[in-house]
Amino acid sequence: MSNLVVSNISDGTTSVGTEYVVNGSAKVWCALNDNNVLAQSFNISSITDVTAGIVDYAYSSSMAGAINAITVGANDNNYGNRACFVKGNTTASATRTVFIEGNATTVEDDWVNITVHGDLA
Amino acid sequence: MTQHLWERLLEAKSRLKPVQSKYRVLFEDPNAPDEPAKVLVPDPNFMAAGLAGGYLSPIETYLRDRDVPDGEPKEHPYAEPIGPQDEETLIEYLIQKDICPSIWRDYQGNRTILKIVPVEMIPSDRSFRNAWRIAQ
Repeated sequence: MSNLVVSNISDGTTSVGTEYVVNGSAKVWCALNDNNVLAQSFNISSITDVTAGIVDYAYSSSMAGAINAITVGANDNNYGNRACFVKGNTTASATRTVFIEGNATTVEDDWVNITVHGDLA
Repeated sequence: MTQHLWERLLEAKSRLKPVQSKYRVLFEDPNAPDEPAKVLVPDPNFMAAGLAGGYLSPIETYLRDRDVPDGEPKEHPYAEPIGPQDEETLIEYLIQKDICPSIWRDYQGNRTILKIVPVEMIPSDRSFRNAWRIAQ
């Protein structure tokens, strides 16, 4: 593998330091469907189907700490009044999402997507 | 200096075709006996990197890193990568890395609480997902 070593990236008018680009990249991402198929992923070693509506995501390369900027999205083709959250079990090497209905019961969904930004270990 | 694991994974993703594993890991938590069986699904990019070799860090580094507090330097990001592994070895790697040791190492009871199964054995009908248990 060859390396391109540059300190700034420029479009000819404005420039930005490469450390902003590298540090600002998502460190983990995953798009998971309800058949437990990881359709798109990076830096995930496995997912665990915990119960209906609850999924754990294990990272291959850990984050520096447990507090990271985690964005979660979900969609269900048939139902509304649902929400997806990051649950409190998040660590530097894994996170958990939970998908609930309006009455707070966990339910299955069609897709869950997560993205993690932060510093790597 | 060894390349960071995250960069190695970027390279692997750009070069290798994802590999869907033939296996799943079913397990139960002995500390939560009322919870249903959990299903671990290997990531296709992880499997591709492990089968190809030259990308993943040794499992021992993850096990040692469990005792390293957050914010302290971890061993696995800069460890020398391991060579090609077969699929069964990668499943054992994931069990040690992603499942709590109280399940795969410390459990002394009589119940079967962890099983590697072909993917076909996982029910496709999820209507009763919260009642799934490992058959004894």
